Amino acid sequence: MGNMIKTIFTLAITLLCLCTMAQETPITNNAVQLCQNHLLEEAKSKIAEALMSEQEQNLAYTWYVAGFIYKECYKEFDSGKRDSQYRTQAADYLVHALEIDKKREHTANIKIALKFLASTYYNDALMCTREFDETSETEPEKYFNLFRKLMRSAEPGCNLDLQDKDYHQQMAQRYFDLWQKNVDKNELSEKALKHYQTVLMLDSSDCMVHYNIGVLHYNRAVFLYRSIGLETEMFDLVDIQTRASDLIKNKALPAMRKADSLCREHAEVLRGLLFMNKALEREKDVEYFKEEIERLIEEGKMRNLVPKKK
Amino acid sequence: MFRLYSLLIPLLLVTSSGIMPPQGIIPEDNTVAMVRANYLWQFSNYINWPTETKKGKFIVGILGSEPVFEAMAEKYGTKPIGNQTMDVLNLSELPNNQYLHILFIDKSKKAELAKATKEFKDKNTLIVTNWEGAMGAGSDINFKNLDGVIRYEIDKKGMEDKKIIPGTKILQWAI
Repeated sequence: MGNMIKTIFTLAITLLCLCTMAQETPITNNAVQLCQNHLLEEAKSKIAEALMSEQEQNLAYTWYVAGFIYKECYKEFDSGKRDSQYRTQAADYLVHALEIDKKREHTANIKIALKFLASTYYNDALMCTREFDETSETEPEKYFNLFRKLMRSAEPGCNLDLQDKDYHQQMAQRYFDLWQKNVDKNELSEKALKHYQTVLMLDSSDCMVHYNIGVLHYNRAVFLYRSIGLETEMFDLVDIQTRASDLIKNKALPAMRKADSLCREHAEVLRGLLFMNKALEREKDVEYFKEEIERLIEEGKMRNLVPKKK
Repeated sequence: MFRLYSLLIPLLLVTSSGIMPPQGIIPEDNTVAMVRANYLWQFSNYINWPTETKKGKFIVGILGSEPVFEAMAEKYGTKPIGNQTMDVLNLSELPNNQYLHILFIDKSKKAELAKATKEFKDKNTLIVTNWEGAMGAGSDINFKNLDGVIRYEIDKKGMEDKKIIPGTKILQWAI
């Protein structure tokens, strides 16, 4: 009986609050209704009116609804458009709503909307990492920073290491691919390396990153060897070999050994070690890795680190 | 107060974890063969052969090493050496009645060195090898790997006896 009275009392209070709010924000409520009826252009005009209204413009709810409507506009009209003004505007409204929502009445909903927008920026950042070139290399970072900014607004202190790692890994891979297409531009390999190193700072136990660093240095060495030709002077032949073997001995091999220690019995890592030792003519090691690869194939234990291209 | 729950989209923070980017692939170049091939090219250019061999093709025979043959043929085959044109031969055994300016014997065929020394004794053929101990066994130039850097040792007197004169550059860079 006591519980029933308590429930009725709570419902009455809630209803009172809702009625009070409804009376406080008539224009905003109108915008909400238009939005719910999928009349987004009209909802946009109505919420603009609410934001100009002295009675409603200082309420977190109004700013939240404005952000929500612009978010819906982004989804409806600009989905996939990276420079969408709807999205930018939605984020600005929501961040402001969060700032002024001192009673935290709408905070949970605002955060959900902000996280949604953050995730779209994150997706855009990752998409950019797959297609940028030297003229658009700042694009991924721009979107990734917007993702971070919104996530930090929604959840201050949240851990974004996983996303950081993914982002830097993809950036590194893209720079690596661009470098492979233009091997004379060594600065591209430097940039790839820098991103790989950032990934290692976030997770030093990622064997794929150690593997890729090993491959990068080994490729540098191979490109030096490939430059040997008809015009190469004896001095250059010795100099090229000295530089290339230094890269293999002191950079590629240590990284590949680290990958091997973290991911035992991986096909690509073992192949990497095999080719590096072959380049240095370390015959005992070459034999060892050949036998190791054959043994693993026989035992059916060989795992592929690099997915085979179809 | 109107709630907008019905319009809220569940948050899906997409990560790339499920879509692994293509990773770097180890290039399969035989870098040792590339370097040896270039040395053979340098020897062809900076060693002087007797006048009677400076006609027809400049023939380089590669015995027992497909990678060196491929590297040689790809980059230097058919290129001019003085007024001759280089011709690279891939040999599985020592040739009969075939003059060679240079014969490279890979260590996989080290047993052929004694036979080659005898066969080419008076034929102005430079014998190049790549294993420890080949120098005293009839090789004129022997490759050595010094911690990843390929250099060569040279039997100057043996070469001069065959009337093959190494140029200054070749002598300078010998160990």
